[in-house]
Amino acid sequence: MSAVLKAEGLGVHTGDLALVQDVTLTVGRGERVGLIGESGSGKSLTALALMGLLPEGLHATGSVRLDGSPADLVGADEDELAPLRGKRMSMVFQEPMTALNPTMRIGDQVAEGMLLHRAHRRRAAARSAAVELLDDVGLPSPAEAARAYPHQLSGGQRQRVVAAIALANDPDLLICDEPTTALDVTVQALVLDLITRGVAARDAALLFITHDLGVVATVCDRVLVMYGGRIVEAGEVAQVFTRPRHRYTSGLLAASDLARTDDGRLLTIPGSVPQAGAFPAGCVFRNRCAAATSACETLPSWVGPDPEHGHACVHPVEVPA
Amino acid sequence: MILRLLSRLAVLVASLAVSTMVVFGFMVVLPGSPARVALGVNASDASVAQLEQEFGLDRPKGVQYLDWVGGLLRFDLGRSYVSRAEIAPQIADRLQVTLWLVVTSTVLALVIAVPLGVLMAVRHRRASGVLLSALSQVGVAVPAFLAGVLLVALFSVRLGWLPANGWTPPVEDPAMFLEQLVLPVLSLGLVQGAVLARYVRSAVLDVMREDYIRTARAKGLRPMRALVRHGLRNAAIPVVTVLGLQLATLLVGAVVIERVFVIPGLGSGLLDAVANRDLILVQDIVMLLVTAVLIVNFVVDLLYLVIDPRLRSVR
Ligand SMILES: Nc1ncnc2c1ncn2[C@@H]1O[C@H](COP(=O)(O)OP(=O)(O)OP(=O)(O)O)[C@@H](O)[C@H]1O
Ligand code: SF4
Ligand SMILES: [Mg+2]
Repeated sequence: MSAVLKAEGLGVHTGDLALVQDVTLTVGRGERVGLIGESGSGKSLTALALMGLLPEGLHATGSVRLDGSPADLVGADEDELAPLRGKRMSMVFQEPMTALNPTMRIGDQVAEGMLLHRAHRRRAAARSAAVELLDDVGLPSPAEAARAYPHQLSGGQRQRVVAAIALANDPDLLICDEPTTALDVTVQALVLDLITRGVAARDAALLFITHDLGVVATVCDRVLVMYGGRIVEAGEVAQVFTRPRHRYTSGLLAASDLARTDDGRLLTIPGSVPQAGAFPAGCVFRNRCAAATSACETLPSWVGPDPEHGHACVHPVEVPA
Repeated sequence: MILRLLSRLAVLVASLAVSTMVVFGFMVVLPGSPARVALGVNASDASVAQLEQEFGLDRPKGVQYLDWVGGLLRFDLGRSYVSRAEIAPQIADRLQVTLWLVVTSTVLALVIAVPLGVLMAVRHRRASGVLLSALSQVGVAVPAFLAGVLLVALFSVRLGWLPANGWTPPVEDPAMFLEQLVLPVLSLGLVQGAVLARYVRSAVLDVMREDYIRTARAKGLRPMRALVRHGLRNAAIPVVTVLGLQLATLLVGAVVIERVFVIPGLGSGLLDAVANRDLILVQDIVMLLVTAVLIVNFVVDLLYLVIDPRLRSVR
């Protein structure tokens, strides 16, 4: 399996402050990889760094490669990045209410990307392709929706439109940043379904960011666990969710609906996620970890056969033999 | 959409109606009869009574009001108490002068402010943007009349390129008209442009941080193109508000520039009318200015509807 996306030692910094560090990940064709972690662990920044869309004042280090593009995307200029965005890699954002331009018709917003990347040269052709795509992502009466403005659609419908924009040029890589977090539970499943179907139909690679472990379990093959701007554990979903090794992962699982204590109480990870830059040196989870020892004061090294499988914990959770 | 238009139009008509009452009422509560004001304190009671009779000022106030409003609807503004000349043609000339001044300087302000404001926003972290921003700040701090005086000192007195003052109607001598128009329009337009550019800058800065700009970038649009295609229209919403306010202020505020450049506009007409104690002329000019401001507001409302589809749908 060829890797569509390969990031190595990816970091995000603002001034001297490191917000994301040493992120190494690959996503293969047709593969669906989850990126999970509590709020503030650096998931969105990782995604934006991959797209080359970090906000002003933040910059990326390390390397990001897209299969078939010789250049390293970190440090590449707009001339190299712009033709890739929306064409080879695209993104669905968390907030459907604000992700669309309120003063432009839906159809034009969908058609724009196709015209830009020359999937269609004529406006009329792009327009009808946009309507087709809107039908594809399950919008009722797509022709009407194409003429509508964003405020005339519901949140779920808008997220379908954002997905349509992202899928318009059949990208090789789709990055979804909490695409269903802002939606009603009933709508969530529908949007998830359309994303997984869209990705499967294109045999695209999917990087799926969420803090909903249940979603990861249904959508993803592999998962990366992020905390304090670092990947602390990685592996197959079945493996990581049933036999977590890193103490943070096990805490996360225990706090989720997937596992409960014997008396049925919901567990939470003690303490809260520190502000960016206030994570402890050594293991970033050290100040919240019950198993921490002085050995955890130095940065734990990666234990595992490859960056896609393993963990960075000095005292990993024991696996029953 | 049609409904919105009609309701805005109804608001305009209602505000105009209320304005006539307020303007007329204000003149009524002023102490002394208009005739005595016009003739002066030393005039005999007989001559005051004669003037009152001539202009129907001895009739009940309600009748006078209806007479005045009826005249307004027919563009008949009555005759001056002082010169006895028809007011309408006189005001029409002055209105034309002021409109030339206000409209051309506003166009100049827009031509300066939009590119400058966008540039300041896009480069706000670079030295060039900060420098431009500082320059525009200076422009904001300079009052228009001072700009006028400085421009006259440089281009008329020093270089002798342009006339220092005066006004020639365009039909009489187009070349002269343009020459005399340049300096007053520059004085108003540069200052107005500097102010407007600050608003364009902050509106564009706000828009640049919007999620939909990021969506546009994720589609593959380059930063500048994303901003132009998706940002400017949204940034126009607050800018139009400021532009409307500026236009309204300028209609009256141009009076200072009209004085500096000896231009027979509405503002100086108003000052003259007050100096001549010609109350009906004051009343008519004030009503005209109020009407102009209300129409500007109406047009701004319409522009909102054009720019922002969210306002079009009735919720
Ligand atoms: N522009 C910025 N400048 C400085 N710090 C930032 C900036 N953007 C984000 N951060 C910080 O970086 C950290 C990681 O942010 P990020 O948005 O990647 O978190 P996340 O994992 O996506 O969380 P969430 O689940 O809330 O979306 C946070 O502590 C955040 O405060
Ligand atoms: S390395 Fe130490 S502090 Fe970090 S999770 Fe493992 S046991 Fe806890
Ligand atoms: Mg996020």
